[in-house]
Amino acid sequence: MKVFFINISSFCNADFADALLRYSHEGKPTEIYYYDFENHGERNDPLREEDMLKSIKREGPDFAFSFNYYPIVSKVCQKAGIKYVSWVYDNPHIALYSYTLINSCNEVFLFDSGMYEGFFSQGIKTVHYMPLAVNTRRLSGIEVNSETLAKYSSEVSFVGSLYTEEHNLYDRMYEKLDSYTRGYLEGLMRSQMQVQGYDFIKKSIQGKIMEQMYAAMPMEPNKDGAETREYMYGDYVINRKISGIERLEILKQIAKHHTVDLYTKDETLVAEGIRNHGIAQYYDTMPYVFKSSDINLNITLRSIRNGIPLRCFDIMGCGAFLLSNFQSDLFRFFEPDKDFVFYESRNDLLEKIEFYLKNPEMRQKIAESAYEKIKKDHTYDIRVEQILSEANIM
Amino acid sequence: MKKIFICNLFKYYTTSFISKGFEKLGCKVMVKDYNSPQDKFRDAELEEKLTKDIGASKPEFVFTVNYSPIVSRACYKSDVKYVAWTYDTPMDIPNTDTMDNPTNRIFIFDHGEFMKYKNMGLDTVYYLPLATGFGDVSADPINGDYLYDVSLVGNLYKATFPYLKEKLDEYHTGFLEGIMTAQREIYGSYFVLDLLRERQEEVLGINKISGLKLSPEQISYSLAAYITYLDRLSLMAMMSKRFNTALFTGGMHEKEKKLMKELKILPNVDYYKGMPEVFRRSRINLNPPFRAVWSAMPQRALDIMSSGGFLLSGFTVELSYYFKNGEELVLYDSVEDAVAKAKFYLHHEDLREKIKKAGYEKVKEEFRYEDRLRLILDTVAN
Repeated sequence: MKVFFINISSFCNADFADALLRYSHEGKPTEIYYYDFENHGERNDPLREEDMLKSIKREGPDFAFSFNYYPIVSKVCQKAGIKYVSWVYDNPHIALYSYTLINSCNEVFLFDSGMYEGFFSQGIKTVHYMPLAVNTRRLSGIEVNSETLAKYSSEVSFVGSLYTEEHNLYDRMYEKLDSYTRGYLEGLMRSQMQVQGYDFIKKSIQGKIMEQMYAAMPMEPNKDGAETREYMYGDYVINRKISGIERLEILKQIAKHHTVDLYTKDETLVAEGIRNHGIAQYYDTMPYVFKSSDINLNITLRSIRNGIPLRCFDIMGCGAFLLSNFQSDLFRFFEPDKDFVFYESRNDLLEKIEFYLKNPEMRQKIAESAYEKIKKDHTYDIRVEQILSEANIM
Repeated sequence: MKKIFICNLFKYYTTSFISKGFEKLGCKVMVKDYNSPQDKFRDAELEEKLTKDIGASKPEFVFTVNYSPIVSRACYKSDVKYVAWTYDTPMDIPNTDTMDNPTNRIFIFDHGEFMKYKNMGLDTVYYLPLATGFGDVSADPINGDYLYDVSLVGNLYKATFPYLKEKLDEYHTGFLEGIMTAQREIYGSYFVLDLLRERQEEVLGINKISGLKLSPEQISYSLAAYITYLDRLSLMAMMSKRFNTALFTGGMHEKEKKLMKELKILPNVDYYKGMPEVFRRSRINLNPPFRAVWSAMPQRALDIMSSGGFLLSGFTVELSYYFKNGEELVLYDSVEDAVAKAKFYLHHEDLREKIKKAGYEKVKEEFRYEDRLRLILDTVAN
């Protein structure tokens, strides 16, 4: 089996490729041809498309693969007559609204069941639901010793972005907004932060509010896309902002009682009780962080509707204890209080942190139970089989 | 024979059912009306009067619908048990100060509210869902002879929010309207009060700019009332454009009437003498709950069913817990959903009648005053 692997920077590439290479079809090993690709959101690039098509014709792969979805790749695969397997781990992912999504060559695997239902219920047949995975083989080889413990030991840790990038979309838009809309969005965001498991942002930013937001910071849907303004402003601007606010507020609240170890891109962030270690490299650092932390937090990006974020798999795959916000897809595969713990509100979160810090044996039991499930059902080896089977490849 | 002293500080619909219910259980019931106090939380004169009357009648316990801190104090002073059974939520009290008086036996009909007080450590609170009594009064529900397709018996809940809005700046108006837009989407959960309690900055801002001294509870109430108002207005407008719709209410503004010229607007009906008949003569009876109510079963919903009316109600947790949705009643979770369901059930008479009968049987069996009151008597005796 030969895979045309769209080589665009992504955490999971190496782990997935590793699993692909271990897969053999009818006794024959798998070959990977890496095609370097950069994405700037284009939907058309004749030169690049021609080059890709030439490569495919020359290499003769059985299918093309990429993490996340690229309309250009779909166009080329459609022309070349090979399947395009895309495994999406981002939400929002505006490229999915490109008209190319219905290309018959597509086998698009979405990590968020809410996203999947959104497309499938509208008659899009090229989508599947496929939760993410983790490479337990690699992670089990990573051992914690007194040196790494000294460096990474933590009561409560959080690895993730705080979406504080300068010129972030919300702040840019805010500058030009009128007072009413500023107040409205604040009230709306604060309301959403009270609720888990249901997103009412898109429904609540129609009419005059949308007009004002557009006037302050115009964003146009792609001419060849089916995305709406509500989707763009709702997920790319507002839900992102909510997550930034929410994550920082939660960490600060926890930090009043326990030191919080934060691993995040923005090194300039300073807050009392929070140790900001800067970015944690996915392969080199993260496993140590998870394996050395008593409690590993997951506070899901608000635009992810039901999906299990990669972070959860990373944590459980390390045999570490996961404390997460409510994400309904977790319940498809994992049992609360047995494999992981979830919180329903900030108060609930604080109480659970207190409780589980005092109960290391319970944490251990829960982490072990999750790890067994991950090894059994959620490794890349398993996903390769599932994806190939569902895509009817081989 | 147990003597029960019912104090009427305010007029509540269900007092008559309750006093007759206690009598049927073999109690001697004394009912006394008092002038409604201006300040419902503190009135020394009234408290003294009550203490005297309680001392004179020497009852097993004093009873009120809804909880009164004034009555609680009077009973505590007299060392006589005080039973309150709420049918409004949230309880209209400034704080929980009197609630832990050991003579209290407070029966709360809203499970969420009950849990809140229980978790605070109060052991004077109990959970007791409401009862409904029209099943006893009427014979079999009237099947034919419908006068209306859709009815709503109740007020439009004109709110204080528009007056608050006049006093606010753009930012805080937007803030409150953003919150209302969000909450309006959600049934089965009410987050506005918790949110306002957390956002002290905005509440301070609102008070500063308006010159008022509103607590988060008061603002929350105002918003909930306004959301309910919008719900009821939209329901009446949308229903009346499509179906023969009647609204039995105390009053309506000309502006509101203009929005729904097809709506039959009729005066209030008497709770005992007129209301059950309206429910029976309407194919569909709406219960759009007060939107701060996310848990409890509203009295109105139960009364509709026991009168032999078909109930189309906004979702609350307990309605969905005690009744089978689509079999004993029908629940909706948005105005659009309500309109779609009204259309469906108007076109499916057999199914509608089946549901109506099942709901009637259910409340007749499981929502009797006699059973609730007996539980109160037993609880108080122990």
